[in-house]
Amino acid sequence: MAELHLKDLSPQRDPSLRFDLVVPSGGFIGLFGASGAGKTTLLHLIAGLEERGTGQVLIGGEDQTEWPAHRRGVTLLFQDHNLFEHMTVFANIALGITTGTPTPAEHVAVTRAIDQVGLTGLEDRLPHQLSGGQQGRVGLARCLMRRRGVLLLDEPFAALDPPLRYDMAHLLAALRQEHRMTVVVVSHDLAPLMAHADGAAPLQDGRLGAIMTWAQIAQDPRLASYGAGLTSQSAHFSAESPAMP
Amino acid sequence: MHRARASRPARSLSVHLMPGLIAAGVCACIAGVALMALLLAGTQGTRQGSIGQAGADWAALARIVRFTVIQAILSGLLAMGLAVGFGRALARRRFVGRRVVLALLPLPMITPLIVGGLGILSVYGQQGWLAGYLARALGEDVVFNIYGWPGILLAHGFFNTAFLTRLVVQAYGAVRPQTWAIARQLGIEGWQRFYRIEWPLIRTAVFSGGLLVVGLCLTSFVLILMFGGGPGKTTLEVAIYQSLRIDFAPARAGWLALLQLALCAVFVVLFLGLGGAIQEDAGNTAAQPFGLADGGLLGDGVWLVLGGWFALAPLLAVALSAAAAPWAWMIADPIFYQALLTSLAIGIAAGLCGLLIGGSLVWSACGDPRWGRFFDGVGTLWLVMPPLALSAGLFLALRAVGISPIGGGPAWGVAAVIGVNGLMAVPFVIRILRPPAGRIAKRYTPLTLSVGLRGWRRLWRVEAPLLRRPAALALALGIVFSLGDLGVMTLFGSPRLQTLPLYLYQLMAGYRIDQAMAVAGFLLLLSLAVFAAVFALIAGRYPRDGGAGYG
Repeated sequence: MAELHLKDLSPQRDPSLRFDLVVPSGGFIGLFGASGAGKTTLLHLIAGLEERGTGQVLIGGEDQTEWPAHRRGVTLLFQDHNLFEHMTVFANIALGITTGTPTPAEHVAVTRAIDQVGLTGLEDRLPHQLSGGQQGRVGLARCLMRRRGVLLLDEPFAALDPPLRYDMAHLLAALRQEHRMTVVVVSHDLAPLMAHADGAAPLQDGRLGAIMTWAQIAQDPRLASYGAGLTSQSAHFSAESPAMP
Repeated sequence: MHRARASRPARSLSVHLMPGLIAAGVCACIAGVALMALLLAGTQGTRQGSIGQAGADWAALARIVRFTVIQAILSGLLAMGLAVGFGRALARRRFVGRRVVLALLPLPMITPLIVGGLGILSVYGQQGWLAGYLARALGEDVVFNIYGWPGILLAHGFFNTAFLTRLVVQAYGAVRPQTWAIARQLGIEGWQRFYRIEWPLIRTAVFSGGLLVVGLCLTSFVLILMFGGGPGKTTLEVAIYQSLRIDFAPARAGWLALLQLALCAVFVVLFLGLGGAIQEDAGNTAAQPFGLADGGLLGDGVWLVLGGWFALAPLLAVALSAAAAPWAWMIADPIFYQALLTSLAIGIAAGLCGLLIGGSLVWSACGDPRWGRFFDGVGTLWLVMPPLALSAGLFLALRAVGISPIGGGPAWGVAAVIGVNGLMAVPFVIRILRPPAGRIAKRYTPLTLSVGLRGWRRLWRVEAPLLRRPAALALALGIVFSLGDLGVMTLFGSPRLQTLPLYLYQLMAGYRIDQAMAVAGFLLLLSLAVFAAVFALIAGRYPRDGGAGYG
């Protein structure tokens, strides 16, 4: 578990974007905004996959701005292309723990992760032999294997049908508890997060707003499109999902 | 405000530059050495006045250059015309055997030039099928001289029509089916449809492919040597060969090679200026039934017969002639085995050399997109680099350091032949590997950076399995191209360094046509077998990428 702190972070290719954010250790927040607002760019900046112009990334109080992507204290579930299409489920997940051949202990750890995300029995399948939801779980399992303090997810619900979105959010919350991670989810659809996340921050006009509660989002007239979605999805969720506390 | 230092992603990607830079360095060294040797030989000749003896026959020189350019342009136009008619008919007709014809179209590409030339002789020569048929039909002997323009155009047409036809079929395959439906609805049919709808959609493929054919014909050597038929029908490449190996005039060879390089450089500029890049993955080769109701069946039938005959008849002729040739004689000849082993060794080494250099350039071009155009350019340049001019440069360079390229031992000749053939394979390696490697880089770079999969480990776990099939194709093509090479071997070949094409050429020069047919048939079979074996062995079971289309 680690605090995520962004200080005036800006990508080199678009200096008009500037991000300041503090997610407390163990926090679980959503990020939302219009298409092209820079949500994916933000996650890639945090993960060290986007060239930085200015600013700092602090994880667990440590300045990791100059660290290479694979050493940072974050792990990112991409919006798509999360899996190597020529590798099996097992090999894809094992990459989270080693880029070489797994040791017996690592083998056990991978098997356990597969079990945690409910993919037991599918270890030898190739990604194209899985459903969209199962593919997302493989990517999530690999993120968990990396044992980082901060988990970033880019539109994890985009490829899923509505019922599966709630299952995925529920799984995410359970894994977050078990692995004690700070979680940041970028999503157009905030409703699946409502039951589990602390709140969400809007990304508008190149700036990240403060983290808002669900009620604040629903009542803010500037965020009417998201608020309306939240209200309707919330009603749907309340009626159909017994998992909601 | 905290200013960033060099970003991590860029720094981690910079390791990708090294293989490409090394490969580009090797290319530059070989080209530089060859160019220096040509310049030295040329200027030495000027000082000694030999240019006055050999090169000052400006009228002859102008004739050679004019013929080189005109034969290339005419060959390109002939191939383009045939390919449009044949490709259009293939694209829009469904018929029994269509798939077989499409599968056979790449065959001329992997057929050794000298074997294809022999096939042309068997079909159109004085003793060939066509002359025989006409003699029977007319009841008297028909005098048909294949040497000169007819042979050159027919031979270039055979090798290039099939290649261009496939591009045309793919261009039609890339058109959305709705286009044809809209045309029908608007009543645009027949010639109007071709002119107003089809031609704008296929002309990029036709022109870019046609330009490439013109470039390849500018550096044509073997076919001109076979069909040139005298000083009036000589290209620069043949003139270089004659200067070095027949007239022993290095200075003249140097100047001619420099002239050939300049000509090719002008062509490259024109090629790039006219947008000569070939579209990758332009489309599939499935039939587009857009014209089944417009009554063009007879015309299409004529094109299919004509195109099929043009592209495939010479191969059939070689196969049939070889079947009746004296194979027992060939098997008993010890020179045959020496030539076979040398050909295989040189072919495999040159194929690997081409894959290594081309693969390194592709790796770096994909690893750092800012350098992409540079590495692509370094690799593609060899497409129009005249192999004989390059070989002449290396030949003269060896002489300049006191090594006789022929008498100094086969090792030098072998090294030069491997080097030149390897470099000549590089553009094809680039063309085959670049598109899938680019897609892999685009798709997986963030993921590999994220999990720390880098360098050799990334190459082994990501690129190697996903690029196995295209790499196998590139290697197989490189080996087969080198296996069929005669041009470079005519300079460096000697009684101690024989390859199968050179052996075949010597049999033909000695008018031992039956024996030559046996060797030609064997060489054709060997090329096909090596191509299939290398591809099958390396490509393995496929696809394992779930049809993601990397191959």
